[in-house]
Amino acid sequence: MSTSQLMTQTFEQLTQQLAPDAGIAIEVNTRWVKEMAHFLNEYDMDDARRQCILGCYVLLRLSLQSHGDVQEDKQELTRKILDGDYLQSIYYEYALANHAMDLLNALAPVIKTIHIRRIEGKPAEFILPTAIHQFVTYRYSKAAYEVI
Amino acid sequence: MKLSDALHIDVDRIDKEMIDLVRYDRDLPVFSVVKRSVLDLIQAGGKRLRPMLVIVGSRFGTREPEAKRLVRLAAAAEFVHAASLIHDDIIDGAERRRQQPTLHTKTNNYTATHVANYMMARIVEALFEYSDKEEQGSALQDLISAAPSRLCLGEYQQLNTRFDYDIRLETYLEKTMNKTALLMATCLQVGARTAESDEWVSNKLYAFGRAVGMSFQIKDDLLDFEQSEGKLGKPVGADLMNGQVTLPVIYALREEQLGDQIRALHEGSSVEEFQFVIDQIRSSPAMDQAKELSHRYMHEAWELIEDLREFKASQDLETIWHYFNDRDF
Repeated sequence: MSTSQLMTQTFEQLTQQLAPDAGIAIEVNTRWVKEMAHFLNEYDMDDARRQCILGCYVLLRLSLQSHGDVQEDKQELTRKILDGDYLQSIYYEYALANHAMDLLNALAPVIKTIHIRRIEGKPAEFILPTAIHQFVTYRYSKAAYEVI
Repeated sequence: MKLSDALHIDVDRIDKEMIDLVRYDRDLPVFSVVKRSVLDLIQAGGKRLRPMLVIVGSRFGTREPEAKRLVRLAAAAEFVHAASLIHDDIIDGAERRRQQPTLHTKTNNYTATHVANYMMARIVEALFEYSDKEEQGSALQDLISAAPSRLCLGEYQQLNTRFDYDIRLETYLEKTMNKTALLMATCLQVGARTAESDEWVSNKLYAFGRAVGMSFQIKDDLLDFEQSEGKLGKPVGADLMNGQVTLPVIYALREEQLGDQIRALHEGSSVEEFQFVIDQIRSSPAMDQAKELSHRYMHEAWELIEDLREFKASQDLETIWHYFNDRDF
């Protein structure tokens, strides 16, 4: 599966997961999604697993983005908090639906650490992609390509 | 008598579990705003209704679950509830809860948001420590995934229907289910499943939790009109002033003259304009109609107790039923 196919199919899955009442639109073409999709494509795993890991990453990252920007403006504040909460709960739903207990287990302390560091005013943005890289490299070998 | 005493539940044990979850979290620095905030929150107390529902649910199983696991699950239910309250308080701009300043007023919105997130993340981590794979899946699915996502949907629905006087009764009931009743229903069901209850039993318990939860929220909506400002801690009719079209308002909208008066209210209406209409609603038949629906849910809950009479713990459901039915707070 090409990187763009992986991204498209993952986003189709995620869009189906989100309730219309939430009114959340996911943006496909971001650099950080492309980078993770490209990274996942380098490893030997089935496509469903690749989509699951990418989908979890997207949901978590968007949830963190939403809560990273809680403004004082009331209307905006409500949306940011709700969107962050909702995306986080959908992350669990999506991971469970895809039987990714190992990923949930591995990321639980990571997510917790991100929140602790944020409260302490320490940089935390690098932690999630790094943890997913570690999760993948520990479990999967790099895909071998035939050189012609 | 306190509900916990009547149910023979050691609430201090649940509180200790919650405190230990934070105190012995090795990822937290010794002096940490997270630790202090969560411990303050636990020590401020609370009814601990949801953990009690988990424990009562476990009394309907085919085996007794390991005590430590059960207490952790009960603590998880309270963490989910408490985290959602922190976010609710920020959204509502509430300054006090249980006679204490709310967390975001003591810290700030950003910190409070992340303390609640920490609680959710910590409980997920803790659930992985003590459960087998199947139980993890079930508890995570019910408590951490489905219940919070439905809570959010309830909030979205509330947000999307502000000052919407055409809201259908079904939409209101769905919103109420999502916001309040679902977590109560889930707590009973999770407890029952942990004790390997039969599926029909856990489904009955879920339905019981749903019914008392729906009645609980409708009573809450009525109290917003009925109780004094001093007892409520907010102005009478505050829900309507915030644009929330609750059950008494939905029924009042069906009356021609009162309906027109309600429809004339909007975000920019004065407090006097709101107060005039709120007084009209208070003395209208809409209040009794809303009470009637609340009673119907309690009746449904009682019938579910009758279905579970073969279990000794059905007496605990009766105790819970009376607790909800006699509530005037």
